Amino acid sequence: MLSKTLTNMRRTPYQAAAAILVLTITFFVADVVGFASISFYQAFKYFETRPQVLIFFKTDAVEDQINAVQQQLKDDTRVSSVTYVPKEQALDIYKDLNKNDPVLLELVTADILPASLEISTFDLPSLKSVASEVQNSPGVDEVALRSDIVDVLNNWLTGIRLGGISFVGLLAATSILIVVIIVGMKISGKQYEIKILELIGASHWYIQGPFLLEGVLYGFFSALLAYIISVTLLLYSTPYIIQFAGEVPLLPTAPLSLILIFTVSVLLGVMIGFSASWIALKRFLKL
Amino acid sequence: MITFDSVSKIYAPNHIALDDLSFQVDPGEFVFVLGHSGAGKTTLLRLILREIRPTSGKIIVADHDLSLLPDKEIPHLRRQIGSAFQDFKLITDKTAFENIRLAIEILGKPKAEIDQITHSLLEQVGLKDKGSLFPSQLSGGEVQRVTIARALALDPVLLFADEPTGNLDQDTSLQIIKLLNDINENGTTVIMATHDQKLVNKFPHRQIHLEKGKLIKDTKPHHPSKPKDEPRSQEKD
Repeated sequence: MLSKTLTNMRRTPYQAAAAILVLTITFFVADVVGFASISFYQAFKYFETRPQVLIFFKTDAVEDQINAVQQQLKDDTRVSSVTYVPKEQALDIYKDLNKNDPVLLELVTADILPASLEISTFDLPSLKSVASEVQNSPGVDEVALRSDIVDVLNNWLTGIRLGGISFVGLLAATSILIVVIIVGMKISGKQYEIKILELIGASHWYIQGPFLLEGVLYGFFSALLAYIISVTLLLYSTPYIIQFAGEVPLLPTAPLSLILIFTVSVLLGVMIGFSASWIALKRFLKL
Repeated sequence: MITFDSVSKIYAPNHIALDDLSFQVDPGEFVFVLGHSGAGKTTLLRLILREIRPTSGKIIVADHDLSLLPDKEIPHLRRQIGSAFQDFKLITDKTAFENIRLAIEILGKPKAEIDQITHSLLEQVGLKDKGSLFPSQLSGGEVQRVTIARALALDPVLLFADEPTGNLDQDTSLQIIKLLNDINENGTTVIMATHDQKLVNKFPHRQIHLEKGKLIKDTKPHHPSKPKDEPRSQEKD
């Protein structure tokens, strides 16, 4: 049956190319959406696990004031971690960040940098209340919240997922229709042969099988081709994206995620191809 | 082998193709079904193949009561009936070999076995060297031989040939009937529908005469070598 199906595809190369092309576009977009979702999710998790509130002390704040705030936060059940960054360590961080700019390094000393506390809460809603409570503590100069970044990333992630799924859904529907039309045309073109097969005693499965397999092969080859293209592009662009994103781990994509996207994509391809052929058979073939 | 019991077939709106037809064909018989165009010969074949259902009456083919046969069993029935059609029903973009091969392929046999059976069938119908030709490259008689070879592909218990000599000259027609005769001598029941009374009179087989869907005469076989077989006439009109 496989060789018969492949022969059918070979004998109508333009129809086969059209089906594979439109399905490949669909799966390419689906793969890109999949990889983007995974990258943004990695970034989201990264920011979520970073210190989410930074409490900067005034440069003239005394050690007792800092210790009091630190103790208050350690006793707070909403807070998951508290890390003290003294002036000297702040200078080290500053130096590390600006190691390529000696002029900036010359101008800054530990005295003018503030000591700070980096804290994380168990959940995002507690961030704002904890921040407002320490805002007016003695010695505190400024409280910076990172929840904004997490919120923005979360919105991006939701947007990519919803927008991506909608767009891929639209493309998938278009692809199904095109495969239905192509397989339907083939069925119509073979009505005479199908009639003969029926009369000589061919089973329904023998007649329908090659058409179903044709749709499945369109889906399979398209999903495979789209995956190869998208992974090639991903691997090619990974160094540039890593450089652009800095410390945020957008890439590389984990091998498990690559396998997951491949599996889901191929399974979807087979399902879409099968469904489209099945619809065409129900619509165009009366046995 | 075949029993028609008061079978009628009326096509919409009220064209009577077969009218209260009753006859029986025993295993191993060779029967000519005679009648002019529109007598109901092709309808007979279509009913036997369960391509259509009778309006009334009962049909039994190879122990299958066709009115009770589930749709999923139809392919199994058709594999027991070899059919050579009036319009050949060959696939024009397949060679003679491929057309015959197709009928064996549906059983899912191994490729080597399919090829071996196909070659043997081509040889049986005298087209050993013409398997690679397309139907358009064959003569009328050769095309008919291909349809007969295809009909034999599944080793059927019954062969129904619908006007196999319709467009052939006298000599070729005789060759085709001789071929059907050989097939019958190997044990296959053969029914041949034709309008050519002169042609069938050259053979000693039973004749069923149809006219406007009615059975008007059913003659017994007359074997010259067996003088005791007197022609039986069942004049209905």
